[in-house]
Amino acid sequence: MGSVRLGSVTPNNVSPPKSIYNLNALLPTHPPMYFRYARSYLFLAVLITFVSGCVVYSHGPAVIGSMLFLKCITMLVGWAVLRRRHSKDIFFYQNIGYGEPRLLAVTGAIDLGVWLISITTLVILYF
Amino acid sequence: MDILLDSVYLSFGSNDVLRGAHFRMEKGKVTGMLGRNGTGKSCMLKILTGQLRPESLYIGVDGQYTKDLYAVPGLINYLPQHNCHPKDMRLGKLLVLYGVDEAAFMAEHGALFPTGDLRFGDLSGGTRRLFEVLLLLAADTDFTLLDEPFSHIMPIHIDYVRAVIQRSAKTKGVLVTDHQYQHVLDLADTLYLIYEGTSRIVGGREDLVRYGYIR
Repeated sequence: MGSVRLGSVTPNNVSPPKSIYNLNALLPTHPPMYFRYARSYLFLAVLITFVSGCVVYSHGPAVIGSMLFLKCITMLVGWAVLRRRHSKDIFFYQNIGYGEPRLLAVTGAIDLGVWLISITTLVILYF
Repeated sequence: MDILLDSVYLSFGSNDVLRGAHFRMEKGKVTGMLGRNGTGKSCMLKILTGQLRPESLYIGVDGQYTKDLYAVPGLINYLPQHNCHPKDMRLGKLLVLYGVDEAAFMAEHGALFPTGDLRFGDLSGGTRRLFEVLLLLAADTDFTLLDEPFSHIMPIHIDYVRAVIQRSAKTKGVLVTDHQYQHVLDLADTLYLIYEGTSRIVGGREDLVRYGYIR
């Protein structure tokens, strides 16, 4: 048997679903797993962030709302692609403690965070 | 410790697949599940792992309602019918991710997998299956759900897997479902047959004949 326990449940202390709502659980214990899961989404994410940056640079901060809308739409598309692509190996991620909602949430949060930082930096530097 | 799945109602359009099915797994026991194709056996497993949401469902762990078994750390792991591990990942890495001690695993099963440096995709189909089954059984979860663990595995290794399942069932609950019913029959402490939308506990071969699962 394994020497390291992934987690434990005692008979009288079985808690309701918690990991996806627990911020500590979102901390990456194996950071490359998020990248492994989301790598097929990476190109789309970088592309849309780059396009958003170019449009904001050329048209000014007035288009940020539209670009954010575009980003959100492509993020939803990206999630759908990820779910479809990982429909067979999702059990591997779940078995090692990465539920699908958590993987999608972290992927989306990092993507949106990078987008926000990029656009904010662009606006501060050039407008 | 036990997991209870109860009052499962599932339909696809006008087709009622499950009508009040129930199911109970206990730690320290092997639970078997059999059923003809299309009776809802795989649906039960998908429901257990949260992949399918039926119209009605109760899941309890030790009598306490639990919405998602995977959300309880260390409670279950699940092996689907198909290979579910990345082909480019080394066996040693997989063992680490599952919290299994590589040296101990290799000491026990070293004759089957000479080195942890091999990639999962380098193994033959049958050996991949064998590794997955042994990996999930070795992981320190309270329950392991195995969907067709004997598929693609050669007979001599089937005996090996059966022995490991029996050994593992001393410390965890194991659910086994497979069309090679004789193995399930031999292994199971409790055997369920999914029949006409419900689940029935069956005693042995005679019951399987009576319900038309075998002749």
